[in-house]
Amino acid sequence: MRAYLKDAELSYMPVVEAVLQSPSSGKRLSVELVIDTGFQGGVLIPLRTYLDLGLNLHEEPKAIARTAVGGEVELRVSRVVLKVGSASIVCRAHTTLGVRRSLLGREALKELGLLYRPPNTLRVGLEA
Amino acid sequence: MRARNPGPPKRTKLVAIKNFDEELYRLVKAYASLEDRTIASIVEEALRRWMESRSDYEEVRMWTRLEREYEENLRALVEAIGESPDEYERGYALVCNGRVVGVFESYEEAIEKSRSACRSHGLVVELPYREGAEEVELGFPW
Repeated sequence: MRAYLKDAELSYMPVVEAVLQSPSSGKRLSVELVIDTGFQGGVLIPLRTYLDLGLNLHEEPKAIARTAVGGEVELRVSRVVLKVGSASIVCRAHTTLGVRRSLLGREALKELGLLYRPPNTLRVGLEA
Repeated sequence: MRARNPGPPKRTKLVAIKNFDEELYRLVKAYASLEDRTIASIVEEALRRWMESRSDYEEVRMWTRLEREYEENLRALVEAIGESPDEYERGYALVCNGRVVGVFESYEEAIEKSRSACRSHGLVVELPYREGAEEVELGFPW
């Protein structure tokens, strides 16, 4: 498993490399997931990834997503096998229009017991 | 030469547009008359070209196709529940191609069946079915 902080310009996104697998066909894809503790669900993935895994063949009733700024978005919902390192769980996979970056949400973080630990040394740039 | 199979008839819808530019409408009407076409066919052509110029056209096209199938499958389930509610009290219902495939004891059985029964969309619903969408916190727009 690889987990790292990426892109200084984006204030170092916490990223986890994972494998998503269809629970029905076994089809799998490697993905880079950005840890997002503001997202309640399992994973949020682009529609293309959702379709490539065939998650549309066993969808569940849609959900309504509420954003931090109060907007509402319809989410398609299915289930996916998420593999991170040696751990493997089944969690909800969500998608909607316009998703470009895959997110790892609280449902999966809680189930996996993942601990987000930023760099040990934190330097505040105020040295004289 | 053999005639081409025309396929299923196109589904159409009555659309009324408020505040449409009157002069533009007159021009379109004149062109439609000149070219012996309907106004609808000209508007459709213009909208198709506009959509194809969008960078996310494929994504939106796939989304709307899924939406149509999802709605058909959900409608089929609600109708089936209305007709024989006793059969849909527990388990997992699988709906594909606008009809209920069956009710299964477990989620795993339902999705296993979806592999062979569903072509492009399948809906697995835990019973008893409850109307109303679940709310999920998304954080900031992604």
